Amino acid sequence: MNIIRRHITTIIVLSLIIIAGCYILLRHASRPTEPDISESKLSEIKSMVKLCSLEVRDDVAIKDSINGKWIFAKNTVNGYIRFDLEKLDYEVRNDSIIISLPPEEIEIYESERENSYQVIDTWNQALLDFRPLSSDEETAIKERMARRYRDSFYDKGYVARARASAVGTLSALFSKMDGNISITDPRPAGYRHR
Amino acid sequence: MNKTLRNITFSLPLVFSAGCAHKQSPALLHELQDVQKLSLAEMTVNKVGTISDNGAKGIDAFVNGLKVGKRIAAYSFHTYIEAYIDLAELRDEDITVDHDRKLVSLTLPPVHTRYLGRDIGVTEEHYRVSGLRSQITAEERAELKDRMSKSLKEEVDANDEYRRILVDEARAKARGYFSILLKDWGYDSEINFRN
Repeated sequence: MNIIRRHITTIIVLSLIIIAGCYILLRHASRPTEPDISESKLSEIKSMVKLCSLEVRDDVAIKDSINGKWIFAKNTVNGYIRFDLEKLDYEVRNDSIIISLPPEEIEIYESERENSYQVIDTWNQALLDFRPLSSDEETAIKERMARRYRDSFYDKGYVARARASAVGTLSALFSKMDGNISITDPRPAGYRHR
Repeated sequence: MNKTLRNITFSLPLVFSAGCAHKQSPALLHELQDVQKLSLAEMTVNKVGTISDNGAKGIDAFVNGLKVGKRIAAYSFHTYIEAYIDLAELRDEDITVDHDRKLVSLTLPPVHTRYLGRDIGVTEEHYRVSGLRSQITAEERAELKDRMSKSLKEEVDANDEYRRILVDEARAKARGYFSILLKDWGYDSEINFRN
């Protein structure tokens, strides 16, 4: 009787050790390894003279698909409307200088702040397709979102507002230098289909 | 010149549905701002991050040794930093014109730097998943990108050299631009910066 009891105790203890070992292995097996991040490299410096007259920061919901693969995510993006002052077109009429506001440049970036891109869900439309969204597919979806976001600046009136604001800023700046300088805007609604 | 309007709207939490799954309900941010910033220089900084088993230590390294196949991927993206002057800080006395001598004296506001943002997507530099290993997911890439951005900002903020290079470039550009512009209009110029 004693021998049987001793064997049962040994089996229970061994089982507990095996279960604990499996638990530790499985926990570590599913834990992602710390990523290796390189040192930052300065790749380019460029000089410019661009007037930024409007900035927008938005959280944009992405729900889109490519090759039957879907993603649902939240993306924080920064949008800037700028005017290249090195492309100023001006003409001299009598004693006056008339400057035309150049076409707007709309630049869209992903915010560099924490949690700017959060993937909430991904799934495949086809039942038996288990391939995950590749990096190129994900980037293509995000670039599509950025194009739509950029176009919305015209529909929401941001471009017209930025152009009017730029005319005001440049008029105030240049008129202090010379009272005969004036700024005109040949396309107040912007250059959407340039 | 001093006209700034800030409009911040937090929309009501939206209930999103994705397939059959109902997950987070994030509050969406919307911020719109009229500004008068004159961008003078832009710096592009690159970062590369790797997801792999190579960096594992201790029990993680032992467990990775038991797995069948390799799982390694490297991604990169750019972050953009600009140097600018805020024309809203320009005061009336900062521009003086001597019409007799045809000379404009211009004192520009101090040069500031800021992050514009980072690339929308990432560039896949390398990808090899073999054997019974799972593919790299979009969630992993998003987490990696976040960590890379955090690391980049820590490095850039800790090293004054980045800022110095940008500010020097911006000052030189502003001097060159305004002196040529004013020369075109028949003026000589003296251009300085306020500290």
